[in-house]
Amino acid sequence: MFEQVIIYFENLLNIISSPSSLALLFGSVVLGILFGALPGLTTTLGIALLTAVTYGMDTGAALICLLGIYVGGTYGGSYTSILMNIPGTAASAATALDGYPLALKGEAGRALGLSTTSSAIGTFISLLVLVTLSPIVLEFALQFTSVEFFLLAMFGILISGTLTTPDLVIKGWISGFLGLFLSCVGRDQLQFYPRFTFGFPELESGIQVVPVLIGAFGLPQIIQVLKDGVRVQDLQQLHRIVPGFRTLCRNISNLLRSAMIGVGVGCVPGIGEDIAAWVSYGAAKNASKHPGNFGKGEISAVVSTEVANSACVGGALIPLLNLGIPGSPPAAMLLGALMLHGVTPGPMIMWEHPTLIIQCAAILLLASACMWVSGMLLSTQVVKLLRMPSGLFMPIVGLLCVVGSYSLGFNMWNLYLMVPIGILSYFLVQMGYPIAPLVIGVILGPMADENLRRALMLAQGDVWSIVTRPVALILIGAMCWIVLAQAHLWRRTKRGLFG
Amino acid sequence: MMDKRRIRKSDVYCGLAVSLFGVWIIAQASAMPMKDSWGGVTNVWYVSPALLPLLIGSALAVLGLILFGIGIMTVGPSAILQDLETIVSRDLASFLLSDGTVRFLSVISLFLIFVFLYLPRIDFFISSTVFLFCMMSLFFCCEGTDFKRLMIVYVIGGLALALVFKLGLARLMDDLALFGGDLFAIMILLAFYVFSWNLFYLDRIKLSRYRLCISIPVLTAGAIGIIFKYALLVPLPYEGLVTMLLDHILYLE
Repeated sequence: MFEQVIIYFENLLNIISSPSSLALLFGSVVLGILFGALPGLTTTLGIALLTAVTYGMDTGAALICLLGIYVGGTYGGSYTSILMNIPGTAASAATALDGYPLALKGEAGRALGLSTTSSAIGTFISLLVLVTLSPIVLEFALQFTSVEFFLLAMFGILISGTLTTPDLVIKGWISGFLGLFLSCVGRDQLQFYPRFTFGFPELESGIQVVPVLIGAFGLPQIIQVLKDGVRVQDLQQLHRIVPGFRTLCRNISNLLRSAMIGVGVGCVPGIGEDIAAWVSYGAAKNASKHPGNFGKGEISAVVSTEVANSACVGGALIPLLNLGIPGSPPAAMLLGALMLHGVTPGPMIMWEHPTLIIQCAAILLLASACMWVSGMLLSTQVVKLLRMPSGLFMPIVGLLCVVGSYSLGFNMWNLYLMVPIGILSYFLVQMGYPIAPLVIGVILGPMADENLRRALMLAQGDVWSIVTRPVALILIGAMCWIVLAQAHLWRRTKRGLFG
Repeated sequence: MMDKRRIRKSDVYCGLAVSLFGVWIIAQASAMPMKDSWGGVTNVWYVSPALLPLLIGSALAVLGLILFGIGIMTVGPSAILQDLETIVSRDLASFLLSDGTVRFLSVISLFLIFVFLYLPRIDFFISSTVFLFCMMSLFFCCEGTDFKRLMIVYVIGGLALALVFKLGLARLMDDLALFGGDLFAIMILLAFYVFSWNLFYLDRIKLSRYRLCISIPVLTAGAIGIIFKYALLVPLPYEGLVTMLLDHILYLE
């Protein structure tokens, strides 16, 4: 334990004493704030594009950039939420409910200051939980065998599909299975048999994860923004940013509750910061002495949503680093980036990269500090950039998506796959399909495939041996509960098909 | 997202498509080795590469059917028949020519032309400049009929370039002048500049935006290309005229 603390401070000092690392961190946090603030751009897309840029860097520098943009992007959405009532990211949609009314009352600076400080505190609390819980989760994960990993992957896809779908739950599941299908393309890992390659040698190594993610997350946004011609409304006046420490001290219970909600939601595979923010908003409203004030510029509402969505960052890293299962879409992108750098998150992380989790915690602490400083000093400048018309910056983002996808492997096939997947994702989004389960399916597919067949090989085809494993039974029970909870759907289907 | 009724209607088609896709996956997986040997290894069902695809195919087939059922139950068969009537009527043309559809098709066409036609054949700096100029001039400067006119010109330009390469004229031009294909692309870009200037020169606001649409693509394509090629050492998809010039300047060749 003491050694871990020493390593933590060593990592902190290494970054602080290196001007290039500090510059990278600061730059990536500010870039993340921009990505979060600009409507149409998302944190996930920012991480994807930065993955291409950091490909040639060493792992430490790449981690600094990627975690920096993650932290900045999660917070950045609050700018447009508060100033324009347009959430910059889904994570800040709940902030708009009370942030914008505050801005209308002339308290935009106070709202932004509170959101900045809340986000920094949320990230800080989540990194403490990350460091504390990781050894426990790892200890638990080391007991897992192939059966548990396969069921965990399927559970992740199922729960992600259930909780992220804006329409019918079935669509989330279909999205997840489509992602699983995409992961099957290429030669299988055990027998090297070519599956769904149609004779193309370029497909034999499978579909690369990051170009798929860029296509699935980036292109639909670009198409939507350009098609709808999103115009920047009048920004509310912003003068001085007020940190709001005293207000936060008065909201300490709200703050802690929201942080725990954020971390808890972040741990659930596939669902992200937006769910954390809404759940926290609901909890804060229920616990408030004046619930009627919510939606009219209630301070505790802004605090709850921003703490929760930022706490989700550390929470999403817990299953990501310890189990190899991303806790949110940006974490899914982070997983792809880590794998490109030769880091395979999972239970063996403590042996293969013993200081990685501590390193991530140190970077998160510094990133949250950079975010707070940027928020306090640079908000007024960042806000000016928000006036940039979408017709100018979206084509540039499109070009970055194309170049970013190509640069990972220098392969035109990445682009030939990225564009059709992007177009398909656009239609899926329009028809109410969530994209997060598709991405989770692509990422967890190889893990599910390998572990399923390994588990059955070890059991020599005896499927019933699963019932002897308690964790496996719990996971199967959870999945059955998720499916059976949609009973009303099955009744409707029966009526629809058979009258 | 579309409104609820349209989504339910789309669920009918989507459910059917997903179901058929699931059946197709099952058919493909059935052709994979289940009991016969592959690579010297005798298969059993639980190590077969077909296992997960069969699970996925079955799940998609069932879920697609459920979605189809929900869709049909909500909208009824009459709505589907109405859709089929619309497809064969004039309403389809008015839908395809509506502003939203044209804007959507424009974005898709420009991406497809850029990735499949320009990038593999023309210098990266030139192709990126053309792509950015087309996108920005359409979505920053244009509205209404100007938008449609400009879009048609850009698509024709893209197809003309594709034809030049398909017919082998690019190779002929390369024989006549170094990087003939790139020079032809520059000529197409200049034609785009002239045509769009013609549309905007009478409107002061559009003209100032048009000037931005000329300078920003050149600067952006240059900056991105230089950063990726010379700082990150990423070989560009096609390195032609401009890349050769930059190599001469930056590497003092």
